[in-house]
Amino acid sequence: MKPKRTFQVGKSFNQDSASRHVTGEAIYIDDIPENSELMHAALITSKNAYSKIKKIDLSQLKDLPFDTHVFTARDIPGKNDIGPIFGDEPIMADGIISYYGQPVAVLVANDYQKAMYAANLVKIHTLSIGNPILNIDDAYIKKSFLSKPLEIIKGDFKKSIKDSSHSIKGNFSIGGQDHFYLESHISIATPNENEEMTLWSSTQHPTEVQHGVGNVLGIPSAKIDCKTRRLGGGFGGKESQATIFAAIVALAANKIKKPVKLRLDRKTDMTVSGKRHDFKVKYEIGFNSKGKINGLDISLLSNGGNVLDLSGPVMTRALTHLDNCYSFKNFRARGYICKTNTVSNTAFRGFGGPQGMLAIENILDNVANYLNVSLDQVRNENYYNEKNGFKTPYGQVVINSKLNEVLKEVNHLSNYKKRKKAIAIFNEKQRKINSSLRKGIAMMPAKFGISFNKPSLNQAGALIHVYTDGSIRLNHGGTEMGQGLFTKVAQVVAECFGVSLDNVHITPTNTAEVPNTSATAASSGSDLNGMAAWNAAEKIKKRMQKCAFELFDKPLKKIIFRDNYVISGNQNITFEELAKKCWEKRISLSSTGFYKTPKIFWDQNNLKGRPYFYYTWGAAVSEALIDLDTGENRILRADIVEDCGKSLNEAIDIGQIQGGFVQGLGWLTCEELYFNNEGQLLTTGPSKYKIPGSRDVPTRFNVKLLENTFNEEKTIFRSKAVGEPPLLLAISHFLAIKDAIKMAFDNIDISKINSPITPSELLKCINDHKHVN
Amino acid sequence: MNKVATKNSLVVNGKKFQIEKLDYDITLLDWIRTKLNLKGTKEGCNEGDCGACSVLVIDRVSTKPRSINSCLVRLGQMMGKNIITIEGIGNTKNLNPIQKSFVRNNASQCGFCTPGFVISASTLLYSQKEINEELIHDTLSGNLCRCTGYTPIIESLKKIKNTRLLPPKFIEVGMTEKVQIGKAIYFHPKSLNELLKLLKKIKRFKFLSGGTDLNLEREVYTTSSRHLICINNIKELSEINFTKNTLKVGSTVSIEKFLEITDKKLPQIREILKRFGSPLIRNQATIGGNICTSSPIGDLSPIFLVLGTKLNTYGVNGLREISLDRFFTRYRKNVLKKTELIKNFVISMPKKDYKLFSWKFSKRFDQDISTLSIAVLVKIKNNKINDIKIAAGGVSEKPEILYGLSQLMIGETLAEGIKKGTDNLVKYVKPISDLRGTAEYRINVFKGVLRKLDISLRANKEHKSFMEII
Repeated sequence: MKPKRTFQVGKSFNQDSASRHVTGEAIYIDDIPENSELMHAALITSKNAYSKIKKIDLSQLKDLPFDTHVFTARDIPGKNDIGPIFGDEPIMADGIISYYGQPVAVLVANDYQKAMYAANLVKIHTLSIGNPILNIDDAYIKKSFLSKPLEIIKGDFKKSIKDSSHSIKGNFSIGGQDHFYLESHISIATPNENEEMTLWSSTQHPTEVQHGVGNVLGIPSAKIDCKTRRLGGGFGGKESQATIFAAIVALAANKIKKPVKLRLDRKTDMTVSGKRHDFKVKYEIGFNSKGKINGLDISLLSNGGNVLDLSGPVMTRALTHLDNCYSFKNFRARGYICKTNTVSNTAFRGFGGPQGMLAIENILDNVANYLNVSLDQVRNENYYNEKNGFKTPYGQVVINSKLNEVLKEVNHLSNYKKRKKAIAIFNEKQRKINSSLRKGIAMMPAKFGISFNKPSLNQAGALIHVYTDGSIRLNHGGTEMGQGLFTKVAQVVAECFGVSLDNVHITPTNTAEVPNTSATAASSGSDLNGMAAWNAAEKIKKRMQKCAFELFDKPLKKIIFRDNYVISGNQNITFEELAKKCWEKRISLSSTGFYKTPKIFWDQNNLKGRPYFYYTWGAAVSEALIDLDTGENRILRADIVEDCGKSLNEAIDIGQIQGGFVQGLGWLTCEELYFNNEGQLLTTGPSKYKIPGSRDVPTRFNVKLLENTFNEEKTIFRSKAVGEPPLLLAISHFLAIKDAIKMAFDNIDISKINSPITPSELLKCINDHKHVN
Repeated sequence: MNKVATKNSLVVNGKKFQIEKLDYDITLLDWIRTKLNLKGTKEGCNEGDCGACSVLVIDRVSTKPRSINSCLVRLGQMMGKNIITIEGIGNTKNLNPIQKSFVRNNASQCGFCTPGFVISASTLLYSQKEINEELIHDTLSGNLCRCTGYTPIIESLKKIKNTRLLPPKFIEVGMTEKVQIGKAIYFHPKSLNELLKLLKKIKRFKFLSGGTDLNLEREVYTTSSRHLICINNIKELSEINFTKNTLKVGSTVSIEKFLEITDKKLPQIREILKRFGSPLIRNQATIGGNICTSSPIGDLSPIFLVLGTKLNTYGVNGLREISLDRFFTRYRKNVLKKTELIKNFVISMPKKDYKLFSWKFSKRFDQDISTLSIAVLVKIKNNKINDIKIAAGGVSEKPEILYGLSQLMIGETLAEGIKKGTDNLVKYVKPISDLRGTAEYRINVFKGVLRKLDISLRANKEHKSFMEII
């Protein structure tokens, strides 16, 4: 019998949990069977943005027909700090309240609804200590910052702007975004003997949960296990934030010596957890009459919130994505992280990259409008190429560019030029019949840097066991949040052992199995964990090969693993049999694997180096329809080409592109965070905070992976990361809406339009124009 | 009368459950998850806006399964009903056609919203309608997914094509007069007579119709007791009667049912009704409930107002007829007495020479609360505005007919009337700024609507939805 060669990598397998998702059999943390001792926690949060805590009044709890326990920062045995980078980030306010909705205490009861009810009865008496700072502008004026300004300088930006034949100045704002994962924050802490603590946490970063809980309880990491089977969505919102809630529930469990679950209801989740940073962009740009940029001076102001959290690296990524695909000779970019009395903003898919890229794309569009030339022409003048050079402002040289390839493909896929003409004709016709409808179209390229900006984070581990029945147990440091990581990594392992995918059993991420991991973030999940798992599998495979070598009669030099067989010439043995033989011969069938990304280095003080192992490339064309009378707007069609290298799983990659793009559309059009004058977020549920629905997706939505390509860098099977980059391509829709407005009015100033372009924002732009003229 | 054995019961996935003593009043969702330990149904938002908690309901009246938000109904409301949760749809060894198609087309990523989508989509299997993109969006408008961008979900439903299933058989479990759940007592009168007896007997109580609004506001656990009179089983309140010029419709008719019965006769309001919540809401919410919440932005009110709707009330003091334009008094308040409810609405159909228009504006097209809603009933004669009635929600503390504005335009030529209305709009409309939009925006959209009205009337065309235009 001659087995046929099949490949496990590159095939579009369904996500491993798919049939359990559709039947509701997939277990999320709140679905884990509860034992009778399990207690439920609820947060008690502040009702103002800035004050001193005078007293926490528990008097109303006395009359309740059930028992409650309340714990505050004072009950913390270790340090009240889970700051991922610099520290001084409390899990509960101690003394000073620094934003509206900040956890002040946690209440525990034997029932979720009872805990929620009782938590509402606890009153926090506070003393005003001044006016809170609630937005970027106020913070900037008051010089309220969370860190020193970050700065990237290249060339003489001042002189080059001054010497330019044209220059413009301006500013605009970019709204934040709630993650709106469907599963809100949740964790269960179970205390064991000898200070041990086991946590189930819906986190992208089990190791940080382990560290955070250790810090708060003052116990060593070795006594804390954190497990995560799957998240009901993460998007960055459970990178650092999950630690806060895990640490709070661990504190409660530690105090009452019983397992405790903390599940945030949607309103609390949206109030208490950080979001995508809102930004303010201020710029001055000098250019010639063709649109060639001579110099750019830009300041990015982000709303960091009450503590730093991940705002530093978010700003760094924003600054290092301001160049997008353009070579700037003279450039200064400054990043100010504003300290405000709002919830601390955090990681969100793209991690500052979207804000940086929206800034530059919007500015170039403003340059094009000023010159009355097309945005595409301005881009053509400035692309990274032989003429303009390949060096980024932060020192990394752009190599292996796929810019021309993705642009060519997307032009072809979208029929861009022809449709641009057709749209001009459509708009002319609408104008003639006095209709308020207009269309717009825009293309954009996007380059996105892959790797954590902090080199030390770019490492991963895996642990593989092969059992004597030939089944394989896979564990690695990455978390599964819907992105298909577990399936991709399992494909890598199946490929290595030449077995079918269902031979590889996927297990929950667990700090006890693979330690010292990084967050599953920065699109790096399969790059890092895929390599680590491959490495572990290879070690076992080598041992098994050696064993097979001894088993076979006059074996060939090369022993091949494929289709569940181990083969040498015309001799073979099943993988299962070989596993058993290895055991008999006392050969270890278990191994760890490790990987670190090569070639990267970064000087965080001067913002110079090679932070990114490689770049991904993508391009999109979006077509927008707007109504000038009502501000209504929608996307009609989108065409996307994304460079995923040699894809590990095209179906999963395409899913990431579709989902990321739509999430980007939400950020740029309908998702609006609304705070009142006291700093209270009012958009705390899907009835008020509107993420895209099914009808908001373009009716024609073509997504294509760049064909016949591979990653020139040695990544796992030469694939490329895909999680974040497609979100940024939604900026093309922002530009298409601007294009539609522009075509409706002569000389309209659309440089001031802010993101998100809600109907209200669109109509404001039009009416400002009508008032001027 | 009562079958003792099956009193206070409901059926879940074909199995009868009798309600035993419960600690406190509880939502259907919490009961399913914590008492039945069926964990496939998820809590995403607990406010009826994400669809993760979707379940199917069958009752004696409509045997076709309807999808609802299980977080928005209380267990006490569900006596006698048959519920199907995701566990009753299929399992990994035996997937239903929707589930199979979802798996094949990678329609799940994180999977948390997926059971809800499968439930909503399963109603397609019991529908006679042709499955096209529009029907898919209509069906899914109450379900949010944050991962997939919906595309593979839509694809997998397109592939269902002609696959249909027979609806599960309704299992009878006897009627309940009252059921106590925690400290809440739910009464289920079946006729106005029974209701009257109750009204004379119980002092402090609240009427509960669909409950999609009332159930939002209440905390689940409470230490205080309360009485709730569920009015959905009262047969006189669900009657529908079309005459030549009027539509008489009972107050507990669901919005979805109302959408069905007016689909042919009042196509001008189809878009507004389709954008009313989602199927999950519309299947549960009632027109009486929507009017009684007296929200300043209730979607039905402007339309009902311009159509000169009258409502008949019923209570301990007998019947009253009230014109809807005198019904709302101030923010979320109306003229109903504590012991009085709406029996039915009498809606006048637009006369032949009148034209009816309605608009709704919100941040998202589907399943969003209006920033502004406007209805106009107008008669043009000899190019003059012979008669006009403009009503709006979202511009004041209550929905209202803008008599002053309307009066201003009557007798003018169309062009003059629109101009006059636009120029003087701010005198009659004083909206506020809130999280849904600024006052300035509301005024400007209103002006845009007047322009649209002008264009539609000139061209003698119906207003076309923004989503229909490609």
